[in-house]
Amino acid sequence: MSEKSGESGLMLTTLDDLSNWAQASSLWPLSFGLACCAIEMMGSYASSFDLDRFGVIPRASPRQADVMIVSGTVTFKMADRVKRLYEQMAEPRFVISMGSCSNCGGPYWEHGYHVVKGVDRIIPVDVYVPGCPPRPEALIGAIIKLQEKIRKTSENG
Amino acid sequence: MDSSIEPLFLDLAQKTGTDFTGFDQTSGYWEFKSDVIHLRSLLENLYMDNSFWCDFLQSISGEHKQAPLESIVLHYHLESLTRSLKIHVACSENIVEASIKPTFPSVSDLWKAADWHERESAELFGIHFEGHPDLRKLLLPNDWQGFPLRKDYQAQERYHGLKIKYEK
Ligand code: SF4
Repeated sequence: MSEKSGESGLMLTTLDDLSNWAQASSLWPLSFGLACCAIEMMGSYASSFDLDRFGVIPRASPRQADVMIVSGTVTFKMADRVKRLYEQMAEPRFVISMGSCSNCGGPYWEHGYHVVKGVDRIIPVDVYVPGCPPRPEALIGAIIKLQEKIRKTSENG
Repeated sequence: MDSSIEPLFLDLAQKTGTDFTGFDQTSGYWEFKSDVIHLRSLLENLYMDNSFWCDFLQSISGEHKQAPLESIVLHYHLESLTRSLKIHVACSENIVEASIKPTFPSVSDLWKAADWHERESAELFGIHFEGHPDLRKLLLPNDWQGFPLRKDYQAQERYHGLKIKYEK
């Protein structure tokens, strides 16, 4: 909200700012987890870290989701599915890559014949979270970074 | 350990044509060795015979040996909850030719648990289980090439267009 007139309760804003504000404050992630990192992600959703307060409420369908949190090891078997889920999400859509595994293959980088060496080989990633697993604070940090990114974007270029 | 069961095991080994090697103190398992031809009748007896009553199949695990002869060894860990017995059966089959999968009898009709254990061993070691109702891959994707737990396994270059090896 850029200005308030102060007299008649009117608020002035640009359409960009309004839509960015709406997007950034209701980042609904697709509810799915892939490995140990998912446990930490569930911890972040739960009461002690409470992602609800950022407007982050997991949705059970990709059609209703805005952000995909890839939390864990992406195997080649899962890669096809991850890609399809991403394609089913409506735009604008964002991706958070959570943990070493989904950043670059993690502990499986050398001998993991079954692991994709980074989820960015199949879908575009907006924010990478380092760690094995990252603490909930780090995931919250990623969500705040993503919100910053959304606020800076403009539909008009 | 109750050693009164030992003569029964000796009888069983003789009847089924397998080797009984006694009790392993460190693991707490009674040890059997068998070849693939006699494996099925040994396991059937351990399952059906009232004095053993092995109602619980703990696991089927595999091993790929390259020396002295190239072979696949399957380890069946059985337990009788009623009789408090633990039994380990090792069964070995040579790999004569790389293109021919070694064949083991399926025991999924005796223990339901064997179904998925066998599917897993089959895809990872390249084994055929005779009589298994549904030997699709379990963990690997359907179109995966090769058997990852064989010692000479080389991963394929690409899978669905993605490079398998890590590169910067
Ligand atoms: S990065 Fe570490 S904690 Fe996360 S999925 Fe991989 S192995 Fe598990």
